[in-house]
Amino acid sequence: MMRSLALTLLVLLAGCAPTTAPHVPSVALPSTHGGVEAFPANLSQAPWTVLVFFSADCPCFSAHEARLAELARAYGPRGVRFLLVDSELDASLARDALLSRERDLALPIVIDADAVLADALAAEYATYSVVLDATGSVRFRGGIDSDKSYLSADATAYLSEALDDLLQGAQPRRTEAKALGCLLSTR
Amino acid sequence: MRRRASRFASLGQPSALPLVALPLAALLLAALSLTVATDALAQACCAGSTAITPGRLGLHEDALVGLQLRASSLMGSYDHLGHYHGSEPGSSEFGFQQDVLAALRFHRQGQVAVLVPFVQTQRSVTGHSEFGGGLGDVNLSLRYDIIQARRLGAWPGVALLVGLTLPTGVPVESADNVLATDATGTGAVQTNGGVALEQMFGAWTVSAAGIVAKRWPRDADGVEQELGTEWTFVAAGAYTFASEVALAATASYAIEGDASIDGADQPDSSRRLMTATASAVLPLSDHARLQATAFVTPPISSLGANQTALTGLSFVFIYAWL
Repeated sequence: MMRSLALTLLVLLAGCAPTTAPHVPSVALPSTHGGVEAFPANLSQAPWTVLVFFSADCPCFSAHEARLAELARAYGPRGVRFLLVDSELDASLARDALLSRERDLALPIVIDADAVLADALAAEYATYSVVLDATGSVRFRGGIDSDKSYLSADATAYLSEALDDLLQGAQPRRTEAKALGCLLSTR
Repeated sequence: MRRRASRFASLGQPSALPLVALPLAALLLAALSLTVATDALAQACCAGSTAITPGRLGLHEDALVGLQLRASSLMGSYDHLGHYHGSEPGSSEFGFQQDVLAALRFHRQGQVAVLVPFVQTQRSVTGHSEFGGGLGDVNLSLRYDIIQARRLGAWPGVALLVGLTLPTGVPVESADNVLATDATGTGAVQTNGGVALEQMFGAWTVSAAGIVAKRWPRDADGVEQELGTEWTFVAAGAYTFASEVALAATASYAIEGDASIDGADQPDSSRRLMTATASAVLPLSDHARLQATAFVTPPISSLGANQTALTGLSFVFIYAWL
């Protein structure tokens, strides 16, 4: 515990992000849609999986809920699976299931209680999205788009652009983008 | 907080209208803010901090520019024993200030800022009224967030603060106007350093800071003057609504040691001052926000010494780049 805290503090003091490439760890996480999402095994269920990091009270995430639902409707039939990930300290299956009903979130939320996914995928902010292929390789990571809380029609749709490129068999035009959500409280 | 030099500090008697109007205006502003807020809360990460410190870059902001307009009215002053005295009948003093702000993120946890103030004073005593002003003392500051709030759960965010104020204003001994309304600065270089703590609890942001300021000796008409070291303690709380409208309250208490002249301490010259502020932040877009603040020096004996007591309002417009 103390060693982990010391290591964390060292990273924070250095102001550096982890330098190793993000990868999907082997972990099984409970889902608000029932059952368990096993990573990376369940990634083979679809050609592409999008993980979007969730924060219950983040205005940026709330503002993007409708856009996320639209993305899921548009890309779901094309082989893209969307999952929300709650890695925050206060995450719980019961709370998030209730929030899903109250906010009409159609996407399942997986509870990453120990922030295993968040740490492995270098997720620091809500709305941070990661596109994984069926083997677990990270093909894009970053914000959903260039908007924060006030949505504009001329926003750059980072996630959508990356999915369009990948679905056309091309490399994403950008593999990383800035995520503008709230700082995730994971420790 | 920059304090204007004033050798006529206790002369002012503001009219009744501003004293009543300022708190009313603050209440009106708060009510207007609440009309655009909703019952739901929002995580305080994004608006709470900037409600407490207007010129500070928020999360994800890389740079900002801003304009602050400030108006104040003199209520009275505290003597060296801490007794509060209302202003003399027939006299008044109003202060006005326009601050140009800019901040730049040089590191994901570090930011630098500059504040260029323009200061004006309207001062009246029986039979004489005067207005003057000019460039005030320019301030440079640096903030480095060693630990960002929320990053380590129960641990508060910790930031180091460093500042430098340059004597670009006109000190009181160099003022030309009879009532020194053209005095706009302290005349001394000031360096300061401090530590700020910040924590978030859902929609609430609470913060505390301690800052120590060293005012370097200066020559005033052939006499070496040095203000005492100043310690400032700040406590603040803010609540952020789902619309990211935020309301904040801040209390600060500054204590300053005795000044010295030609190396000799001047007894009973130490100063202290308490200031209370209430602020509301209204986000206009992801890039722009408007903030209004009402501030007051509580006119209560023992809360100040050798200082003036003011009340006033400020409005800040900020445009930030993400």
